[in-house]
Amino acid sequence: MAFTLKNRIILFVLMVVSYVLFGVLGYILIRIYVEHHTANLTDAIYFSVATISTLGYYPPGTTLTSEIGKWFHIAYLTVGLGVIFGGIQTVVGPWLEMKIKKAERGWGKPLPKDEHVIICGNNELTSYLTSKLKIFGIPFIVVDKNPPENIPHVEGDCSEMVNLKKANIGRASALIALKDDKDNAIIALTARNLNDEVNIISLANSMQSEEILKKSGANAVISKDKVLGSTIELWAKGDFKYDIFASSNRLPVNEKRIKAALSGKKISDLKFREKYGTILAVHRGDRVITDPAPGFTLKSGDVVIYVPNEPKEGDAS
Amino acid sequence: MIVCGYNNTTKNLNAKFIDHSFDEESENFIWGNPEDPETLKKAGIDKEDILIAATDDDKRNIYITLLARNLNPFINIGVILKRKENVEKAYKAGANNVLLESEIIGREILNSFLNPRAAELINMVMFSDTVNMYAIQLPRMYVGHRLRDTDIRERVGNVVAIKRGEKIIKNPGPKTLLKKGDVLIFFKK
Repeated sequence: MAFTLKNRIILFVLMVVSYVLFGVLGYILIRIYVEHHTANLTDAIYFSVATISTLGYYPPGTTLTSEIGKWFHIAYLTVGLGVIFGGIQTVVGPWLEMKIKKAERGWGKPLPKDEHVIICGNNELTSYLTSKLKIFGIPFIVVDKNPPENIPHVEGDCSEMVNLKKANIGRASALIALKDDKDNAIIALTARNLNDEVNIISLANSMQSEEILKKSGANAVISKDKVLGSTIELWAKGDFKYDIFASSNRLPVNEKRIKAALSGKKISDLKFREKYGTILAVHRGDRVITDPAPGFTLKSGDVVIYVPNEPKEGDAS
Repeated sequence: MIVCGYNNTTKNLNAKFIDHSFDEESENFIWGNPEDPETLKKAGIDKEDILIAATDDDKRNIYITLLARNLNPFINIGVILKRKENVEKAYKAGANNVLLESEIIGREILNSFLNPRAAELINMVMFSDTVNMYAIQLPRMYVGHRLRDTDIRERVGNVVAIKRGEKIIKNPGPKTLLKKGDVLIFFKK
């Protein structure tokens, strides 16, 4: 039997009750067989309770007056104190601890309510993603049956509607499903049902599941085998693309959407290279225009994909 | 190239596989345990230039790395790992490169919602050949010149990065001095 709070309370109550019964029995036996008085049950219970509660007031005629009776009273009181104070300690300690923990969780980690990312599942990927999201200052909630501590979370199965609602799916900007493919498909279906707009990104553990996950409502599916397999292949071939995009000193790549106010401007007009970085390509509708010339005219809605300038721009020599 | 572990991640690699999971042995499928030095020798580890340890157990992969490094000090060893705490151990065991699953996949996931268009483009470059990058050895006539004093921009395009030995110069500025052996990297369809 584990000593959970509930079990401790039950044990404590049982001990007190049996101790009272023991007192009642002793009181009656001594009253009748030693002191040759009459004894009634109410007096017996009163005697026991008044003693172990250290109330210490006994109406005339209810105390034990014989030598044996007095010794019984002393012993009963002494052991009773142990039972009560020991018992209270084992119960109140864990109860207080639980209260404090709950309060800490409540104050320290409020669940974000808006524009947040919901992460389904708790594994190595979860810790990678939460550490990065923290750096970017993007709020997030982890939903899992065994959620990580010290991080905003909802405890429960992510494929159940209740739990996604608790995580405010209606106002979330993205949901990332990191469980097995079957769970991810059901999570995507459930999430899509609750929010038409949310950006659902799902991990595909097996290549065959990619299609099904897309059909379940995922906006993007990351196939573990494909990404890992291609990455190791590029490295093995000694392809420079590995150094550029996958190694530890890879190029960071960002994107910027061109707003209506900048429509019609040329890349050179915007001083893009000086202000932001080197443009790799411009994404326009379904087309990708790679390495646009400085004279290229941007339109509203274009997405410029570029390698951002490093914070400290010193010209490498 | 020898690949230890035949699975969905590795099966498309053009390599010699060591595993227990195929029905019959052939030239490129060696039935055996890669933790056994004899199996590695049978696969010809002394003549190969690359070994990839990609079984689904980190400890096995690290052990394979130790064995392989011992049998061939010059072989290039790549390891795929699941747990972050094992990365350092794999390098100590002699790995040349370690791919941490959660980091590679996590990066993909993060990019796909922070920079979805950029992620798409990079995926096209990395995993399909619809958009390509070019790496050009710096022609001798440009050695010793600054980037802005050359006509590289007009003749070829924007230099996105320069590979100089192991180093990669990101976003080379106009004053960047070009050196012998530099590899210029361009982004072109």
